[in-house]
Amino acid sequence: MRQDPEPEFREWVAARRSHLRRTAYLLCGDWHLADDLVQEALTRAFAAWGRIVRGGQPDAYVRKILLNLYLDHRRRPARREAAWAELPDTASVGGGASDLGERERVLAALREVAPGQRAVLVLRFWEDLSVEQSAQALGVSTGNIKSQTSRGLEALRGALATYQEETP
Amino acid sequence: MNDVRTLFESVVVDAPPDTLDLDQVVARGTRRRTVRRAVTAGAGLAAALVIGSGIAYVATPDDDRTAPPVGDPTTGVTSAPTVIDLSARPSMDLSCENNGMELSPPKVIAQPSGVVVRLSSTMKPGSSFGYSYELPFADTGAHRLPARDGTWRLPLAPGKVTLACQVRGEKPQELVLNVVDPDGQWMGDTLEGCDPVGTPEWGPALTGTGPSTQDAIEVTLNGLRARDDGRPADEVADYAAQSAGGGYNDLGTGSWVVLRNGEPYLTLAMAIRGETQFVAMPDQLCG
Repeated sequence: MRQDPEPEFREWVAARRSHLRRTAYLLCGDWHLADDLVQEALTRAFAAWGRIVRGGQPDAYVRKILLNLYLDHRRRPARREAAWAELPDTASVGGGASDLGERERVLAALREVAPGQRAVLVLRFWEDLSVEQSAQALGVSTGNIKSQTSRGLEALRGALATYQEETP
Repeated sequence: MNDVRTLFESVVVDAPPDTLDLDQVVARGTRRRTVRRAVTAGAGLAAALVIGSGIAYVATPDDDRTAPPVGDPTTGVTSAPTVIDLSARPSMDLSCENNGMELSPPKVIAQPSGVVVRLSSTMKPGSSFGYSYELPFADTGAHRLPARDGTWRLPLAPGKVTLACQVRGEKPQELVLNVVDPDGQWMGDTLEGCDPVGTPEWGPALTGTGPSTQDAIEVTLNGLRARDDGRPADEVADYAAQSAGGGYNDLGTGSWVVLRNGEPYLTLAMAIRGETQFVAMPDQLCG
């Protein structure tokens, strides 16, 4: 008899949803969109939860779905422009003015990094994945990950320096 | 690179309240699972053509095909243009020369079979042309075709796409084309059963050509099988392909999903040269 996947799924979501939201936000730079991406990723994951659990790596699988949704979203120009035309949602974010300025500077710099490179940076430095694990997550070669990491870091540093100079 | 990690942490430290509706996730996930089972059962009843040694092409009934999306469920943003762009034309001319490339006009209207490209090339044999959406063309693995004169129909998604011409070993030339789809010919990126995760670098090596869609796909499937040569028998995978319901209305340029041991493994994008040559291009690996 097949076991009901819902309790286990809810338990997994309770433990991972906060981290997933932050990963999605680092990818897309918008909390509303991040929540949409996470909700859709979890919906897809629940539809295949039995198979995902049997695979033994639900974190990696749901991360793949999330990456796919983000990259697919970015691939469609109409949505790309709509999403990035908005400023990041910081209205409900706490912290002082200086913190807010710093956060927006970092977000603005991240926005300058190409989506594929940003995804690689998030995998490598937020998710703490190795080059090999990142390559597996994105389905590309390790060489591709290395080159994208290098270019992404270069772009991020350049953008941070630019926004630093512009800040009074 | 602890400094990058620190930067990331500073950005997400004060996240707004979580709006996730887990009950809705479970409800929608349950419906999605039910629909997928229904589609799978429908495909099982459809005609299965066995070509060659164990290659099965499952012809999914038209009724099961995904309808053109009118919006994105994750964002609510409409993706299909609704205004006819009078500056666009139903076909475009692409010229690949050693000293540059030309594109005219820069906007083109999608046809039922995709984007019609009249290609002329004076580049030496072995040169290629192709397209990419995300990364610069030089960094992508797939979507490369021989730069030979002729009329091509390409499965370019509506929106901006980078076209490139490249002499082997040299830096590609790139131009941006805008594809508009006022008639809703594009059926969407959604590929039933596959969650795309990235373009494989080995894609061009397994691009298949043939006098029909099935023949072209067969070449690609044989390339996948060849990669398993030399492995123990219990590690050799079965490969088959089925229509995926995405891409363009015309089945000739519709998308396909390759199943590896029955599980979605790879999507194929289809192009047509002239009327008689079909090209299967490995597109996205499935998660």
